[in-house]
Amino acid sequence: MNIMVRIFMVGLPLFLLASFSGIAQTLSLEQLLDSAQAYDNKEIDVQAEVLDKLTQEKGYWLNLGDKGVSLGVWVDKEIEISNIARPGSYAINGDIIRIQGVFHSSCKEHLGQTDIHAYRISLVEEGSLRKERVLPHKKFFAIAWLVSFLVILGVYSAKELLEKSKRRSQ
Amino acid sequence: MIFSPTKDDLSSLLNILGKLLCFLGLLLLIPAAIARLLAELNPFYDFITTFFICECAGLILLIIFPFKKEPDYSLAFLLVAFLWLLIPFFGALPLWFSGHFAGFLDAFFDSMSGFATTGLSVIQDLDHLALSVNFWRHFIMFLGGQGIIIVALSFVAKTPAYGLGLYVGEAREEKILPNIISTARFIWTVSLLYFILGSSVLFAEALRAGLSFKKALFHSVFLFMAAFDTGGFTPQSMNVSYYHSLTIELTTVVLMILGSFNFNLHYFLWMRRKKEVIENIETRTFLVTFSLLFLVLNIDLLSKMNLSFIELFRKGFYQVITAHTGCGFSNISISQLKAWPKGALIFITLAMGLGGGIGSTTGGIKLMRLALLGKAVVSEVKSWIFPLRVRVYEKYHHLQDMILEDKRIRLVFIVFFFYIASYFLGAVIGVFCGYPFLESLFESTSACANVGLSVGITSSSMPVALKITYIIQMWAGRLEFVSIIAAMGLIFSSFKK
Ligand SMILES: [Zn+2]
Repeated sequence: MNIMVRIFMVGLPLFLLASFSGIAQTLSLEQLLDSAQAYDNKEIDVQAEVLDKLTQEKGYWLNLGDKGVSLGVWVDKEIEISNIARPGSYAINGDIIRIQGVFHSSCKEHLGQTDIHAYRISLVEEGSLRKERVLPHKKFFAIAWLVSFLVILGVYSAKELLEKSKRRSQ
Repeated sequence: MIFSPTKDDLSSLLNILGKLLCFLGLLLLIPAAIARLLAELNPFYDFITTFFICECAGLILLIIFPFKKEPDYSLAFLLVAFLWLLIPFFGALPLWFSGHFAGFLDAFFDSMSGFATTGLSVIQDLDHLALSVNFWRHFIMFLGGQGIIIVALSFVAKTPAYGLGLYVGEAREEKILPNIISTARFIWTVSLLYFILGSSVLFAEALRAGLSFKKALFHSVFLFMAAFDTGGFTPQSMNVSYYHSLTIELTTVVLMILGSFNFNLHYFLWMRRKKEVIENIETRTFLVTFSLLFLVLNIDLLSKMNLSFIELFRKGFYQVITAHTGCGFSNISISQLKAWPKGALIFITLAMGLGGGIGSTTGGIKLMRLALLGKAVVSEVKSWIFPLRVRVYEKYHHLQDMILEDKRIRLVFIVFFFYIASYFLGAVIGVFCGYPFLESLFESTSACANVGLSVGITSSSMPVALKITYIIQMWAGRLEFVSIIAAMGLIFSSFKK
C-alpha cells in the first residue's frame, strides 16, 4: 500500500475526531442556558456576538448575544480585551468572540446573576459595519403614499373651501 | 336599553376616528426625526410612509364622513373599544416594515402589547433593532399608558362631558379635578417631573455602569417610559440584567410603584397630604397583598433553592413587584424563572392577576376591586353570623369615606368574574396548543393583566391561535372589559331592532 494512502487512512479519522471534539466544546448560548443546571460552576467554552462592553472599576461586562439569547460575561481588568471594540447594534455586526471561563447559573459574587467569569477571550471574527442602503421598494412606497397624500389633501381642502363659500352665500 | 345609532351618529363617530388617525400620524414624525438624526435610513422611510398612510386614511374618513353632531354618549364605549384596535393596527406598520417580525400579526401583537402597556414581545433579533424603531416600541407604551389618545379625543370632542364619557370607557372613570383639561394638565405636569427625575437618575447610573453616552441617553428614556407606564418592553433582549446595576433595578422599582398608583394619590402626594395616601384603601390593600405574596414566595424559594439573603431579595422582591405593578421587567432570565419551584410561579401569577391601583396604567383585577370584594364577603359573613342585628354598612376610604353599595359590588363582581374567566380561558387555549397548564396560566394572566412577564411561551414561533388569544386578552384587559361588554350590548341591541 502506498505510504500516502496509509497516512491518509490514519490521519483522516484523527483529523475528524479532533475537529469534532473542537466543535463539541464550543457551545452556543442557547445550549448553555437550556442546560444551565448541568453546566453550573463548570468550565465552559462558548462563542457568541458581543453586544456591549461595559467598562467598570474592577473589570468589564461583556454582554453576549446569539439568536435572541443573551448573557453577561465578567472579565477581570487583568485580561486584555482592547481588541474587542465592536459591539453589535443596528448598523454593526458585532465581534464574534470565544469565551473560556466558568459558568454560574446564579453567581454569588454578582447578586445572583447568571454569568460567565472568563479567563480567556479570543476574537474569532472581527465585527463589521453594515452599509445601509435604502431598499428601492421603500423609496417607491414612500413616494407613492406621498403622492396619494397630496391628492387626498387637495380633495379635502377643496371640499372645505366649497363648504365655507356655501356657508358664506347662505 | 335598546339603542340604535342614527346615521348622523355613525358619521360623526367615523369623523372623530379620522381626526385621531391624523393625530397619530403626526406622532410618527417624532421617531422619523430620530431616525433621520441617527442616519437610520430604512426606518426613516418606514416612519414617513406610515405617516402618509395614517394621514391618507384619516383624511378619507374626514372627507366621506362629516361631523354632524356629538355622537350619543352610549356610543363612547363602541368608539373606545374600536379605537383600541385601530390605533395599534396603524402603530404596528413601522414595526412590520422594520423586518424584525415574522409577519404583520407579530407586529400587531407587539403594537397591541405596547399600547396596552403589557410588554410581551415576539420581536426577532431585538439586539440589532434600529434605535428609532426601539424608541417607537417604547413610545407607544407611553402613549397608551398616559392616555394620550384620550387627551387627543377630549380636544376633538366639542363638549367636555363627552370627553369624560370616553374616559369612563377607557376605565379611567375617576377624575382628579373638576374637568378633563385640568386633569390632563395635572397628569402631564406630574408625569413630566417624574420623567425628568427618573430618567436623569437612570441616565447617570447607565453612564456609571459603562454604557456609551448615546445608549445611556436613549435607554434611560426607554426604561422610564416602560417602567412608569408599567409597560415592560426593554431595549435589549437581556432585559434589565443588561445593565448589571442594582441602582437601575431599584430605580425601576420606584418608577413602577409610582406608575401603579391611582393618579389621585399622586395629587395628594404632591399636595403633601400624606394622610390620604396612608389611609387609602388601595395603598393598604397593596401593602397587605404585596407583603403576603413576598413572604410566601420567599418561604417557597428558600425551602427549595439555595439562595443567599441578598439574592433572595433581589430576585424574589423584584419579580413580585414587577408582577404586582404590572410592569413586567425581569432581572432574571426566562430559564431561571422556569427553574423556580411551582409554588413560586403560582404566587407570581397571583400577583400579576391582582394588579395595581384603579385609574393607573396597570392591568389586572386591581386593588380597589379586590378590597371591595373582601369587604363584601366580610359583610355577608357577618350577616350570617348575626342575622338579627341591624345591618351595618361597610365603609372604606378612598379620597373620602365611602359606603359600600350593593350596586358597586355587583359591577365589581362582574369585572372580577371576567378577569378570572379570561385568565383561565387563555390557559386552556394554551394547553390545547400543547403547553403545560401552569405555564399557560402564567402567560395568559400576564397577557390579560397587561404585565408582560413570560415563562417562554410567547415567541414568534408560538401557534397563531395563541397569538390571537393573547392579543384579544391584552385588548380586553386594557379596557377592563367594561367598554367591550357595553359595546357588544350596543351592537346586539341595534341588530335586534
Ligand atoms: Zn459573576
